[in-house]
Amino acid sequence: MQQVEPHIIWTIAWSLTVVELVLVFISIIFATVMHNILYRRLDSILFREPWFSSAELAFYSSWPLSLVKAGTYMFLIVYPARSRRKRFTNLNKDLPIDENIRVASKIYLYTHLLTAIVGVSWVLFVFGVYAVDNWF
Amino acid sequence: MTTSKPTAYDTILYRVRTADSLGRIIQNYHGPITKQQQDTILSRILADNPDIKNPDRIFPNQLIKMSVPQRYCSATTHPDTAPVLSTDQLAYQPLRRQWQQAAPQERAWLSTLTPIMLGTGSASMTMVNRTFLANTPLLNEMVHNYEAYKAGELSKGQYDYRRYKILGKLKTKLGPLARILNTTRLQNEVLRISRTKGRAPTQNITRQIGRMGRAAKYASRGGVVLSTVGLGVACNDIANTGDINKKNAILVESVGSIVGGTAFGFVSGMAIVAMATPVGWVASLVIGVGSAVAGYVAGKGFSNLYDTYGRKIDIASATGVASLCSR
Repeated sequence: MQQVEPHIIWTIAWSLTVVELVLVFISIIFATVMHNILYRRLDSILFREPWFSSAELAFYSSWPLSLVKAGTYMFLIVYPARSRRKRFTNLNKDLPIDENIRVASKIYLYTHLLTAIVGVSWVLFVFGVYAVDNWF
Repeated sequence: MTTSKPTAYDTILYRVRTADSLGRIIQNYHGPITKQQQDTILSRILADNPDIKNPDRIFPNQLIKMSVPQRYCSATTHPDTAPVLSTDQLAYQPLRRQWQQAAPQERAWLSTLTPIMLGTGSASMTMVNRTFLANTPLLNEMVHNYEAYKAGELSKGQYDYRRYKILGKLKTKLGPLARILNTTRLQNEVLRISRTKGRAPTQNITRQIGRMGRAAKYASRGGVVLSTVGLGVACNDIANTGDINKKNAILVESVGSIVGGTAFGFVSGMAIVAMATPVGWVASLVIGVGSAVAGYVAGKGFSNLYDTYGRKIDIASATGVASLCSR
């Protein structure tokens, strides 16, 4: 197949795809590393009822769903007031984490947010082009 | 697709296994049939086997002469035919029948959907595995309570109350998974104390512990297998086509599915984490199904965009996927 100059629409779509795939890869590796750091320190304190439902205690015990648990811990570390009000009610203990973990958690949450935003942009772009081509 | 070819039959000697019944054996070989057809087949079996006086009484290792559809016993080499499955895999028979009746276009849809279903299935299997493993101790507790009651350490009222509480917990924690283990039977019926002579009273409960352990093991292995198979299906499809345009089409659709499915997963994950609210069965199922649907639709959408604006770009060769996934 002969290579030709790509159309601008395809260039944008493919660029978003590559960026999203790279972000997904980074996020999964990052979340796995954070999970391995956090579960050793926090599971004994936090991973039980009433803060997690019985279904969650079952689901979040193994990969890949355990990454959701790691995300929940990171949200608690970065946004303690909101998290303690919504999920970790009556949690009065100080968590055994240092400043580096707090910073790493914050970077992860922003990476996750960026991945979600790029993903949504990708979906909107792909279906926006489809809608314009077919319906307008 | 329909076939007008008349069904050919083979005569076989079937060795009865534990828990077999004539009805189940007939269903194994003939698939879903009407009551009238089943009665006809049953009469033929009784005529061929005069030693069977009562169709409800057959015994393990007893040999039964019977006619079975030939096409069910021999594998065909036609590439569009589903693999012939073992005759005792009752659960696969409707699937096989559906596949044989499906139009070529429906089969093509299935091959597109397969990687997505497998990916979602993998996560579901993880949930099944953890749920069963997490609840096995409850059944052990039930056995211990019964032994304590028989030893006089618990009163009848205390024992009944603890059993009632455990059954309630199991119902809540197993959720819809209880149906995998018990089909339509109720949990308290499955976990009843056995009154049969020569049997341990707690046999039903220990059997259920074994069943849950096995289900968890299969689910755990299934998750790994499904993940590997899911990744392999797209690569195998790319390897099996010589047309570079088709290789590109498969690659684009698979990448679209992955991006759409993971984007949905990340948005859902963000929502769960940010809302900081515990998630139950319903939300988990919605996320699982939503991820599969998002992946499927995104794959189709991205494929459409490639057809319109990127058709002349050879992505499979440029990214090295064509040489990576080759025979």
